[in-house]
Amino acid sequence: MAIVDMSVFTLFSPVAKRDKLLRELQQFEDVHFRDLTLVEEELPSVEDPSLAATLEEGKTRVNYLLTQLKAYDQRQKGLKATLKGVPSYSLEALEKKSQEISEKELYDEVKTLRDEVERLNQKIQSLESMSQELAPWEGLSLDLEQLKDTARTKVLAGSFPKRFEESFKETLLEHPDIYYEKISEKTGQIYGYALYLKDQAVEVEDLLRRHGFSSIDLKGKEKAIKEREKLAQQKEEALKEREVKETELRLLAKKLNDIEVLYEYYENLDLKYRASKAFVGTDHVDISSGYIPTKRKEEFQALLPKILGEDYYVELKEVDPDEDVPVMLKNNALAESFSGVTGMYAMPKYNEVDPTPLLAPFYWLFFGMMGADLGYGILLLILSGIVLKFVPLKEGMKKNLKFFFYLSFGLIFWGLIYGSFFGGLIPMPKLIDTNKDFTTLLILSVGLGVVHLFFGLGIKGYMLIRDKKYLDAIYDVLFWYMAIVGAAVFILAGSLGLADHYKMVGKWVMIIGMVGIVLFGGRAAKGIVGRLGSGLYELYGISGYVGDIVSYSRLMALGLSGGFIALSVNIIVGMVINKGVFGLIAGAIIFVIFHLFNIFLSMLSAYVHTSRLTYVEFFGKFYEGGGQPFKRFRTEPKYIEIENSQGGRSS
Amino acid sequence: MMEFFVNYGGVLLAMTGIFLAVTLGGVGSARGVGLTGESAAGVIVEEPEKFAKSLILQLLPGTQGLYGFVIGVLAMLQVKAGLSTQEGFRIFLACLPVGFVGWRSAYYQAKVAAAGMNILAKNEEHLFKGVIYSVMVETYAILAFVISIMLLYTVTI
Repeated sequence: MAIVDMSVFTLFSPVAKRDKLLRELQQFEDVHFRDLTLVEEELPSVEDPSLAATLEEGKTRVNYLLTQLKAYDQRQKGLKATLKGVPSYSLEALEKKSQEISEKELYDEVKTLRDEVERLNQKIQSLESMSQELAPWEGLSLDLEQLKDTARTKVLAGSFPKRFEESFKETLLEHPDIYYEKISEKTGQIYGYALYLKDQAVEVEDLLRRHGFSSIDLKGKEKAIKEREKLAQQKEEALKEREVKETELRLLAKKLNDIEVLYEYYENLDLKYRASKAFVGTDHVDISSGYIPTKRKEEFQALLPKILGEDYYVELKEVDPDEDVPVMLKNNALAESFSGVTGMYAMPKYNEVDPTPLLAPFYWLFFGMMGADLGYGILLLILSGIVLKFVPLKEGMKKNLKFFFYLSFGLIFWGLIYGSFFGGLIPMPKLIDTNKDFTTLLILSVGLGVVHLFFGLGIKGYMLIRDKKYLDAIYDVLFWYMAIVGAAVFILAGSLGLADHYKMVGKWVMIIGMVGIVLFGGRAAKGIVGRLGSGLYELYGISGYVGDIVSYSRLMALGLSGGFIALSVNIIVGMVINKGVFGLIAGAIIFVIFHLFNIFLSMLSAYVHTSRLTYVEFFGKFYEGGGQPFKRFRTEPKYIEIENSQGGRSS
Repeated sequence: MMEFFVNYGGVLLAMTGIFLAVTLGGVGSARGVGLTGESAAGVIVEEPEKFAKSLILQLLPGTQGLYGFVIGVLAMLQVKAGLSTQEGFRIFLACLPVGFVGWRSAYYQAKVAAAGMNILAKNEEHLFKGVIYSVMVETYAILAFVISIMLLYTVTI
């Protein structure tokens, strides 16, 4: 349906023109290379290891620049920058621009500066910790260098925990030949120094240790207070020096735009390199193979002589649909915005149908029914509309927003049916009254479910007929229709007041369908018993239909739950709002916050549950998926847009 | 004593039902959202940019509390002075499905959603499969919710 037809090519081209070929094909874009190294075992891959090394080196450099300069980036960020969008380059402009940038010098410059800054940071840190160490000694009246051992005495400076102070004092009284001076007290530690004879060193030091004394090696010459001043000065200088370097870095960070271009350039190079890894060949000839959309076949054939002159041989043929052909989807703009739903589940296989346009109308309807509110819909419509109009967005993001833009009409549609505007803020005529018509709603939900399921089953029938498997279409689709419709008529005839012969017809249609399912449902099984057994098991699957149909009651439930929460918010607001000015403000705040909260939750639930109905109930009837997506021969640029001179993309 | 129940029994029963619908659903959801929140926080440590997606998974078990709340409000609209004991009992019973199913299903759903956080952490593109697994559990809370509404509004004694 909307899976693009593919052709497969095999191309023999001269090695010398590989680069040119890749470059031109990148302009062409719609090429998905096949990895020939997996198919051709005789011929070696043409991989060029030296190119890989250059590439790796360049990418490392650019990444280093990007991460290191990020901290010094002073370009606009946030809303303003988003509104401005990203710069756009053609492939040639990208290449030209990247040649202009002296990348290696820039790298060396930044590396030197960054190393310097790092060194200064470490210096500052060590100066700080030295100063910290000296802080308790500011009260010391001696110069630091005076705290030195002499020929016969020894000095030990250090600290011990305060809780030993008493016992330490007592010990000192017993040893009058030790001189101890307490300097200061800080965070539970007593700082001071001891002076004693070298002869007694072992004894004294053992004594000190018993009181938890740990020694400190005080560096410096003058008084501690003076030394600290010097350290502070040194730190000041280091800070200044760092500031100079950082200013230079900020200046270099102005080149980030260029570096980002460089990044994209290497990404591009990498893409070409990775493509060439899928080539095989000899010393002079490259063999490449890949898929292109069939409708661009002529264009491709015309392009080759332009690139390669006459030195090439190409073979183009239709693909075998049952092979693992890459899948490209093409839909109109409306359905395209729903392709994310398909993508989230699985890409279709090449021989399946693209479910996107088929699921879209139901998705739209169900989402609307679950979120149903006119006010919420209008809000979503305006918000997504404004962003779409004024903010330049990347393609993927744009698609998501469009998706919600279209869904907002569903909310509005159902909001009108339910007559609900912000949960009944403004009284409106109600087509279906969510306060009374529960039975109608339930029947409607289940009815929509039946249509959805039958539609899914119908698609299966379509695929079988398309593939000329007519009997399978009868066995697997028609019999099911008969069994279910027949059963429905047979069971409901009484309560709908239909005449008896309807009931009879229903009964027989049901019986034929069921017998058909039992007889042919298990036709893949061997032997008559096995066949009937698995046929019966197939018929048992009818209980699954009951479950599927009941599952659609969520259409009603989620719509009601969102609606009643909105209603409750309004009731609460109504209670506070006529309590003077204060009440008015409180009411307004409650209204905004709780409605926003409810919008968020309703949208989330609607999104999740609609997806579930699509994936589980609907896809369960016909869709398998699991195809590999077509990878266009292009990069997904992060910082810039790459425009295509040949207008490559076909969708 | 007897007289008290004859006069107020209906209202009391209905109120008990409302209490059960709102509390059981609320407690279940609070526990569930808490559980998923814990595992969401684990994912965010390494990859804070996955916050928005982790929020989807975290909030999944939150709906049971809302269903309970909605049934509570709907039931409240039917409570009036002099409600007969029969009517009160009907409202009481109508509140039970959403209360009980919501209470347990929120927890079970949360466990599935928490497991889904692994998908988010390791294989982000398949996150939605985890969401679907978790939503499978919610189906039963929805069915209970629908039945509670039906009992409240379409069944008359």
